[in-house]
Amino acid sequence: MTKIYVRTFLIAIYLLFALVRLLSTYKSDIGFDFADSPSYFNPTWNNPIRMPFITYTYTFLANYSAIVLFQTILSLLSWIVLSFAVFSIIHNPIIKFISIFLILSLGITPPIVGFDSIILSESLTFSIFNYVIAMMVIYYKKKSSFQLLVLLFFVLFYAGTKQTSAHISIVLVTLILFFVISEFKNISNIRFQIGLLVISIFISGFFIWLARQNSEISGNVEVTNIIERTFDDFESQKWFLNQGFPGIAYQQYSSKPFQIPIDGTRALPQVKAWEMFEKRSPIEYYALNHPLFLIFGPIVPTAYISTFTDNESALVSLARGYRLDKNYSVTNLRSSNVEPFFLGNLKLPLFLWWSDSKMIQKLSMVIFTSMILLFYAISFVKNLIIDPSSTSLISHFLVVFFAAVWSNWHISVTYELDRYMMPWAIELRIIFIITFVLILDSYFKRKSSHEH
Amino acid sequence: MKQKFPIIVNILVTLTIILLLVFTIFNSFPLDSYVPVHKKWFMYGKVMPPEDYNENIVRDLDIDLIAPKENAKDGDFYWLQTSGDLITLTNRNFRDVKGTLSFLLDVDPCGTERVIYVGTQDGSMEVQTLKSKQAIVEIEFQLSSNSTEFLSIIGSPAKPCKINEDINRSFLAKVTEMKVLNLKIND
Repeated sequence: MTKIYVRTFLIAIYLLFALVRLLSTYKSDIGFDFADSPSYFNPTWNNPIRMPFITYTYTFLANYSAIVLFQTILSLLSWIVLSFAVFSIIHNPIIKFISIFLILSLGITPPIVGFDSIILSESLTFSIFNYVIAMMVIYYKKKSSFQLLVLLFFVLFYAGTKQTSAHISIVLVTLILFFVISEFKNISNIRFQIGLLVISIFISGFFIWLARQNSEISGNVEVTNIIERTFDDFESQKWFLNQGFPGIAYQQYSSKPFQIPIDGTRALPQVKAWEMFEKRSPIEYYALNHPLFLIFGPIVPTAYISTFTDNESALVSLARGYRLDKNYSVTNLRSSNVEPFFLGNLKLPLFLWWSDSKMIQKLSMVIFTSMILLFYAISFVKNLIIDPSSTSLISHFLVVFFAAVWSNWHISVTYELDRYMMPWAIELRIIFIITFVLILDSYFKRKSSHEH
Repeated sequence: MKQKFPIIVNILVTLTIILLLVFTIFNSFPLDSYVPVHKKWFMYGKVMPPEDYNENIVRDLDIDLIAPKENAKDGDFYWLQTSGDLITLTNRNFRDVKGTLSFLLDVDPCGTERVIYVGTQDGSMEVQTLKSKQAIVEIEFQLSSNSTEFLSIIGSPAKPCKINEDINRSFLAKVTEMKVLNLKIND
């Protein structure tokens, strides 16, 4: 009888969530970024500017409203699947519902919902990554081959959506492989699962190779970052100049712009020649040659780049997120104008997940990180037991999180860092929720075992 | 090893989270960002010098060629190709400067002796590359504050010189010891 009530209540919550998400998107117009959106309709496997899964999907749908509806449905289902996955690993019925409310409350906030109404890759990458997290939660608990198959399907789909996702996918598959090897005694058909994972590593490798085929975006980012990060520091500049980076690029980029500065800079024959003959991952190479900058640059950039402020730390982007609902520069496709704002009618609550107040932003980061530390501290507390597979799960999520945050900070355009950090700002909140409910669950498990 | 790996991962993850927590506490979470270089012109209506620029210290000029810079024990060098090249001299000092651009020219790997024409703002100068000795090229220049000068290079005969290499270049001449001499403020 109780099970029927639980099921009915769960279905009611999900239906309500789906209804609110659909109506919110219905009330929004469609956002179109003239710099980026058109590139999503050029499907090719040959030197793609955008990764093929996303370009083929958008081109197949061929209609902006259909794309927005597709993004919305995929997104709302991803939040439902994710919440149900976490629900399934919790024992206490009250905490089960707390986890549902927390996850859905995050999935209904404007910074996440807003991306469903714009023609960019964010919506799809947030959603697919939610499915990846959900399937990892389930697989790490049950370890069945079918679950692994579904998980790898989403990981590889994720790899084909964005250049950075391709690189993250190989980290994910490698971590899952380590998990399978460390749990070999508890997995029945271990050879089959390892075989699947090895094949997936090769497929991920293929997507990385594909992601590196086109240098259009990476060239923009590399030239921009070299100049933006060293313009006011002649000593750092010399390192790049010694690698062959043309000095005229600095002059062109900072001069009176007759076109977008990076376009004019990359159009210089000297810069074109450098890109063709001399450029070899300069930003990565610089970071590897400066290990302290590699490690601490993303969190204390002011120590390495004199013009940067605390705002350029990845910590601030993670705390603040990217507020598309506050970006008034995107074109409204329905009116063909930048104004009225295309998300003007999106009046969803932010809850405490995203805040405009810097004090609350800081506090939220302290709470998120403290909760994760508490989760690891629990393993030293007598009678408070967390399943080792859950600890592996959280650790692997965090390894992916750190790899993504550090690499994104180093290779992304600094003045758009909030947007590039947004997937990882979401992941941090999801990790916080999972650790929070796992801690509560272990506490109530101890309490009930004491009572028995 | 199988048991140790998860422990090592957990320790590393915990330490990194502690690092995040500590730096979060010390971060001021400002609402404004730094001023990106590409926005400075719009903000100030003029080209702004770098913040570490000191007008009393003359900065080296940037010398860029289309040919990639290559390294050897005795210094950097460039292989010019028969399609020609462009030397770009960039003065990023916010003061006028003058000096002399100097470099040495050698024959191509096939040993072809050629006439090299260096095009300047005041006309063209001819230099002969010889197997027996390096040709010295010296070009005086004056550059205005934050400006650039381009020098074209072509050669004759255009007879290709190719060697067995992946990028299939057609060599013209070798440039070594490219430098600026006597760089001075020219106010």
